[in-house]
Formats: sequence, C-alpha cells, structure tokens
Amino acid sequence: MQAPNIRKSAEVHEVIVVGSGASGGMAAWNLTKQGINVLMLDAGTKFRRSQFWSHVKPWETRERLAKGQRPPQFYLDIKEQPYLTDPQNPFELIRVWGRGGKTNVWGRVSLRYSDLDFEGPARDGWEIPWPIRYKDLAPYYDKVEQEIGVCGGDDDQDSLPGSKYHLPAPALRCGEKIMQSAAASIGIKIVNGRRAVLTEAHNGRPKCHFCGACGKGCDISAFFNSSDYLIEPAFKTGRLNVIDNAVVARILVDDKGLANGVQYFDRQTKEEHRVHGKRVIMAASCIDSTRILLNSKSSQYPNGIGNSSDTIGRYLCEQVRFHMHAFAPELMGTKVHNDDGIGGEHIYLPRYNHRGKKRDYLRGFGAQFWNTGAHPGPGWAKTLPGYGADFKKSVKKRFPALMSIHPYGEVLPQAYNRVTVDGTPNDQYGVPIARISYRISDNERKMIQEMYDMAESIFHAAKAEIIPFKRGWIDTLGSAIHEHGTCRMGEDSKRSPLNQYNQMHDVKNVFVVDGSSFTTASEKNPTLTILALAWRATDYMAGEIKRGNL
Amino acid sequence: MKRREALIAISAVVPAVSIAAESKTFTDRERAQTARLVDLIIPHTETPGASDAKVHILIEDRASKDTKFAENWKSLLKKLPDTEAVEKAYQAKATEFTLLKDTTIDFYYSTREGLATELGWHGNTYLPEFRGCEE
Repeated sequence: MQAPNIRKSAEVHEVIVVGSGASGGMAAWNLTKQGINVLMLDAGTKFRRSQFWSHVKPWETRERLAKGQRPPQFYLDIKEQPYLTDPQNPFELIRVWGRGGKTNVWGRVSLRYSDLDFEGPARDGWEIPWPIRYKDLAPYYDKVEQEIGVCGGDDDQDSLPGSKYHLPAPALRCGEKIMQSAAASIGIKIVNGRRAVLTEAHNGRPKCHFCGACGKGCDISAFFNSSDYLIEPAFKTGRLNVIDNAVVARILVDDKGLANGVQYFDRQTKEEHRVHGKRVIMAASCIDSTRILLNSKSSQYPNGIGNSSDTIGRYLCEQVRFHMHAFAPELMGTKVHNDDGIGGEHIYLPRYNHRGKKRDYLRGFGAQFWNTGAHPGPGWAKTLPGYGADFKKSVKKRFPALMSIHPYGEVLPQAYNRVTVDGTPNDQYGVPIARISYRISDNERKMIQEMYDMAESIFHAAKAEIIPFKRGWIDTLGSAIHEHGTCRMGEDSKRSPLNQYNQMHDVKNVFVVDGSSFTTASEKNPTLTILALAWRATDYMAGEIKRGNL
Repeated sequence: MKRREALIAISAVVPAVSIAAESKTFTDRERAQTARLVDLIIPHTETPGASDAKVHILIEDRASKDTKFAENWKSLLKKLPDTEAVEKAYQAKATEFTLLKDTTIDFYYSTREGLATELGWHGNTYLPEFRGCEE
C-alpha cells in the first residue's frame, strides 16, 4: 500500500485495544475505570439488540427470509477473510467480527480453572508450566462473577471450584435429573452447571425470561456479552473511543523496538490507516491475534513482534469433543415440557479421571449436556427405523425423552500444531492470511476411548435407548471454538512470548489477553478465565503506567 | 451456545427457503407425486401430515434455488413412482429413500404443524420462572 493512501491519526493514544470481545471489552472497561484513555479497534460494528430474532419461531424464520429480511449476521464469512487448513485435518475457525465478538452468541459456560488445570504441565512434565496458580486468579474470578453474573452451584471440588458469588442455579430438566442420578449410581458426579446467565436481576440488568434462544442473541441482554456489560459502561467514563470496521493488520514499532501504533484497514472503504499509541493490547481472539503478531515483522522482529522464542503460532490447542444421544424410557410418551430454561444445559460433569487408577494418557475431560429435552430440530428422527404412521408415532413418543452428552477433552500443546503466515496468500487488504495446521495425537485418541466409555456407561445406567454411534468419531477440530496457546504465558522467555501478566517478554508495551495466552487448553470453556486474566493483566498494566514503568 | 446445537450432526436443519406460491420448478405431476411421497413418510393421522404442512411446496421451493438438489429430487421421483418402489428402496437402504425421508423430516418438523401441533413443542416464549421437571 502506498503512503499517499495512508490516513494517519496525529493523536497518540494511551492504550490501543485490538478487539472487542470478552478480553478486549474487559481490558477497555478496567483501564477506563482506572482513568486511562483507550482507543478500541473493532473489526465490525455494534449488533443492535432490537434487530435480534430471539423470538422468531422456526417457521417464522422461513417466512421472514422469504420476505428478504435477515437476522444480524454474527458469523464472519470465510470468503471475506479466508484461512488455509489441511483438507485431511480440517480446522473449523468460527469468528464474530463486531462489538462484543463471540460473546453475543456464546455458550455461556463459565467454569473456573482449578489447580488441577494450572498445575497440569508442572505435574506431568508435558510442555512448560503455567506461571500462575489458582490463588493468583481466584480473586479475579470472584470479581468477574460479581460483575457479570454467573449462575451455578457452590459445590466445590478439586477439579471445579465453586463460588459463593453464583446466582441461583436453574431447575433441572427431567432428562438432566435422570442422567445425574444414573451417573451417581456409577460413581460419577454431575453438578449444577455454571453459566453466565442472570437467573435473577443483577447489577441493574433484567433476569432471563427462559426463551432458550440465546444463540440468536439475547434481546434483553440477560447473559453476559462484552458489548452491553463492559463496553457500554466504558463509554460512560468518557475515556473510551471505538473505531468501527477497523481490520487490524500489524503492530507498528519504533527504533527501540517498542510498539508505537497499529496499522488497520477500513472494512468498508478498504483504506489503510495508522493510529499511534503508547501501549497495545491484543484481544482479537486467538487465531486473529496470532496472525497479526506474526505479520508484524520489522528489522527488530523479523519473524513477528515479540517472537524471539519462535513460539508465537505454535502450541495451538483446542479441545476434542463428540456427541452421544439417548432416549429415557420413563420419559417416552410423557407430557412435553417447555425445556428451554436458560438455553443449553443446567448441569456439568467435572473432570474425575485424575482419581482412581492411573491412566495411560495425560490430562482430562468433562462433559456438557445441551439439547436434553424437547427442542426444535429433531434431526434424530432420521435415525429411527421405518416410515409412515408408526414412524410418526415413534418420533412423537421420543420427543420429550432426548438426553445428550457432549464430552470435551483437553488437547496437549504440540509445537507442530500451529498458525503460520509465511507463504500464504494475501487477503483483500494485501495482508497474509493464516494457515492452521492441527491434528490430535495418540494421547487424545486414548482419552477419547474413556470419554466414550463414560458417556455410554451413564446411558446404560439410565437404561436408556442409545442412538447408534460410531465409536471414536469426533467433531470437526476447532468446532468447540476454544482456541488457545499460540502466544502463551510462561516464566521462561525462551519458551514463551508472555510473562505471567500477559505482557510480552520482548516488547514491554504489548500485552496479549485473549485465549492465545493460555499455557494449556484444559477441558473447560475458557471465557471466564479469559475475563479474569484480562482483568488481572490490565490491573498490572494500569499499575505499571501509574508507576511510570510503562 | 445455541450455535453449537445447530452444528451437531443429530440436529435437523431448518431449511432456509421461502414458500413459493407460483413455483414453476416442478410439473403438476412432479408436484403431486412429491406430495404423495412425503405423505408416505409422515401421513395425515389425527394430526397433520407432511403435505398438510406443505412440505411438498417447501421442497419445490428449495429445488427452485438449489440446482443440485433439484436434480437429485427429480431423479428420486423417477426411481420412486409408487408405494411398492418406496418399500423396496427402504428395504434396500437406497439413497433415494434416505433423501426422501431426511428431507421430509427436516421440513415437516420445522413447520408449525410438525413441531407445534404434532410434537407439542411450545417453547421460545417468555416465562416468568423456569420450573424444570415437574409432573
């Protein structure tokens, strides 16, 4: 891009935040609260709640589409921003560009990491240890839960800490009660789920009205989303500015190797812009942040900013998961309940495989249970035999009886699982796109077998009619949307780009606060931990600014 | 998130098509045959059947927008001219039977007749409280 086309801002911002999802929203909220001015670059625009299709029935959806109406387009079309992936080992990358990012439509599962997670690498020796422990993050989990509102239980165990700040847990569906009881009968504990849904009014926000349509965006904002819960309050401080449709390409550096700004392209006009700032926080989600860091090449940083360790892009770890379904005999042919609840499951199966006999694999798995009960889209009907009147009766009989188990297992960090930009084609702005190379190892394959054993044994204990499945099948890699590890924290600057405060070892005024900063993936959903880490990191940053060190 | 619910293989897809009042994709004969076939999968009983829910119209509309689907459906119509052919295709686990059954399920159970009237789903509404499992 030639210089005459570049639009430069004269202002030097105190902090530039790249991204507006959970981590970017938290960074902006916490810094502005502490009197620091923030410029946020958002790759999209605000999604208007008044335009959400939260209460549009399936048949009404069809009618609206026929009239040319469209719901908010949350998900980024990969034709607009492609990435490369191995056809033999495809990685599914799901992105939301726009205010709040994926928190507009996220699963809301809000699990605290425990020391079982933080101490995993130190205990088993696989890859570098986390530089923090539960005690470092616990105060931030407390604060995040109080701020955003998380419902759940106070049942504390070594693999899943409880919390005295949880809002009331929602009542269980019939199928959930049956699975909980069946699991207990074989020694597996299923607890109340922890979900960032307001089961009662909280901090001036209304309680959930149990329509179950959270995946279409909540029309009353009764579950945490970064836009309403963090960014709007940050605006009220008068210290936040947001540039919409700013697709960030690179971090810019000065002669000393410190970041001094950001290059971005306007998503609408395609014009190149440069803004200047004293500090940069990367919060564009794991893969996009990594791509930006690797593309930020200069004479000081020939393989990407802050990458003297050559670890940025490596150690991508997501999770493995699959889905098993069955029908509860005692629910077949019974009254159909409105099973919507808070959308998704009301229970959670915490990791337990660290107890008992020693496994022949490392790390662990948990399980979720969404789609249990009577819900639209009974595609399982295709698995039932026959056709005609008896088939129709068979579907109706099973409609209230569906139970679902979705185990999630940790994937070990591996140097070969990586994001690269060298030699990839350019995007529409002339910036190299990401290539994602990712596959699972024998460790995960062994774990998957026990995950299948677990799901099957719970259904057997429930004497349930299991829908036929292919043992060993896993969902498309990446589909959990829990990407981690490509810009990890660690004590050793030769093996990690970030220190324990998400600050680059090499470039003191660059912080990376999204999922890429995780040292391991765990089996848990990461958003609550992302929020806690981003809060902690920006507390540290604010302190360093006030002390004159940054 | 519900997006995940949408991704799982077990879920049916809500087909993103409109109801074409004046579609010219099928001949009158093809349209009538499609209605008969979908009713073989889900017939009218004490509740609406597939053609009551206009599944045959929805299928035609999809065919009008999806050339590959239209081609496959017309091939299906040739292979399944009558109930005897349908039964043979079912026994043989033929692809045309799978297409007929799966397409009928996807459309029927996303209509008001299939989802609300037949199955009794009454969700996606405002509730003051969620009571969970109760008799």
